[in-house]
Amino acid sequence: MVKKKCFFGIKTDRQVDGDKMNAKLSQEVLAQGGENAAINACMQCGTCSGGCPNAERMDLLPRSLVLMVQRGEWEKVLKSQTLWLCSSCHTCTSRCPRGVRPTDVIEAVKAIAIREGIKNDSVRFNQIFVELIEKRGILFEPELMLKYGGLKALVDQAELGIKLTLKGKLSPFPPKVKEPKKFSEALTKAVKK
Amino acid sequence: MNKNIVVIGGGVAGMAAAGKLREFGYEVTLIEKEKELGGNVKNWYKVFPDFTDAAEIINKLKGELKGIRVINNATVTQINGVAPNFEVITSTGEKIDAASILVATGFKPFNAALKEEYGYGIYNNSITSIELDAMLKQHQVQTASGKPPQKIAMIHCVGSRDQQVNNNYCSRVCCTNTVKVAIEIKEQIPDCEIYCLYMDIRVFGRGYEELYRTSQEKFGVQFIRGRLSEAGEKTDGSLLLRLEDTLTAKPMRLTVDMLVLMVGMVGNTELAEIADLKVGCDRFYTTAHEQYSNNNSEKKGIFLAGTATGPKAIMESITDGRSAAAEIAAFLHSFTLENMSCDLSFRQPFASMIAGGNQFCNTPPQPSPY
Repeated sequence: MVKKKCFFGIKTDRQVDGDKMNAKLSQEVLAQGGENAAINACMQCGTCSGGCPNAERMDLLPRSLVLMVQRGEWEKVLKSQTLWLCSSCHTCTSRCPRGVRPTDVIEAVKAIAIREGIKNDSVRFNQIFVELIEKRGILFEPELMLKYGGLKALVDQAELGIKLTLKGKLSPFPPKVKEPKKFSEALTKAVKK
Repeated sequence: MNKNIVVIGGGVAGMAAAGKLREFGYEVTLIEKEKELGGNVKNWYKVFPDFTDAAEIINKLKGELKGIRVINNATVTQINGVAPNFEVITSTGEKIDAASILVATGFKPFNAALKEEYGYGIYNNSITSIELDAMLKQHQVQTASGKPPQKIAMIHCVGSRDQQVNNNYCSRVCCTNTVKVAIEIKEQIPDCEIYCLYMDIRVFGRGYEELYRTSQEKFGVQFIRGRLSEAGEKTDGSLLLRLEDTLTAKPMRLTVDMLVLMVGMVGNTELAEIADLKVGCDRFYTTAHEQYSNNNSEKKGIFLAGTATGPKAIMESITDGRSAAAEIAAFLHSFTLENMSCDLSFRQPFASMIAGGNQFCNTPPQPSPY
């Protein structure tokens, strides 16, 4: 996490301003994620952080993320890489002694963030991914590369692509699903829900 | 041998013991220093974990006192003789014969003014848990300026786990009490924010942890791990708290309308010299053995019950009082059986047990510096 600095390199986030604490964010998360995202029960034991396979890469451990949501520290939550590093493996959720579901909390926070128009690589990747699935029903990797990283990404990955193609792991032509119409119907139905 | 038993202290433990002894068929004299029975509990509103009305508990125990002689407004000034022929002299000048004596003199609430940095007695909005409880009873929780508070901080461990005030022990009930009053405040003032400043949460009894969870889940009470370092008053009467938020390892400042100090229990050792009872380094009475003779004092025929021997919840005090009643009945029964010349050698090991004392006391018993 980038430390905010004032003039002369004085760090400004060295102290917690207790007066900014509020329940707005946790209520919003609850409204978004439903009962599954109930975080008030958290007692800060740290079981979630302890079992998280991606914890070492996170700037805000799952326990702290839940604490920040509880206290309404929206900026810290939003800036954190934790949201995008979570692989939704549900280890934390399966071990929480108070029935908190950090995975669902993270999902809910992400949904709010996207709704508020957050822009970062992870969000862009996800959106392109979904667009392509909607279009074809199945992923065509070179197309994803092109859209996400431009021509440069496509060229950079070309060597790996050729190797995969030669071994029959990747088709050079866009694959198709058997019944595109049925698939898109099912997708529309799922989105409606 | 007369069959009278003197119970000193008319709180929940004393009343529970007196009631049971009466049921066993003994004559009981209950000595209470105040004009009303009920001890500390009679002043309270509702008690954890099930929000039973404190008055209900008192009334129930009072109802069991039929045929018991109650002496109000009296203290014990002298105890003469040995078991089973004690003579108890009260401050009213009365001499009472007793086969056995039960000391159930309870605790005193910690004097919060000793923690100067919390501003009790200096700032108007710094109050104790006892004062808050009285406000809840009246349904009038308000700041010094008469407004309902929007933000309240509750401070755990005030006068407990604190070497500075010579109280190294945990008072055991304050954590659960904090959770309970936090819920009560939320019920009376739903939009009030509550912050509990704790070091550890010690909610250990049946239903206590569930209460703690409910306070978080259902009432949104916030828990901040960190001990209050100091409180200062702002010009508008609100209080600025300084503490460390140890969960993020950063210092924190927090402004609140009202500061509630959850005061712990302090031993009441007024009878130490009169009844010749030993006092532990925590200034509660020492029992004959911490594990299996927890109602016996080292003095034959004098028994102990309730918070006189250390902090206890109300339910525990009542149980302890009744357990003491059973001990007394057994003790007196042995006299009757052996026609007063019984062999009590089986009770002798007491002396050696007492010598061991509390292994966690690294300092000899000493008076409080205050």
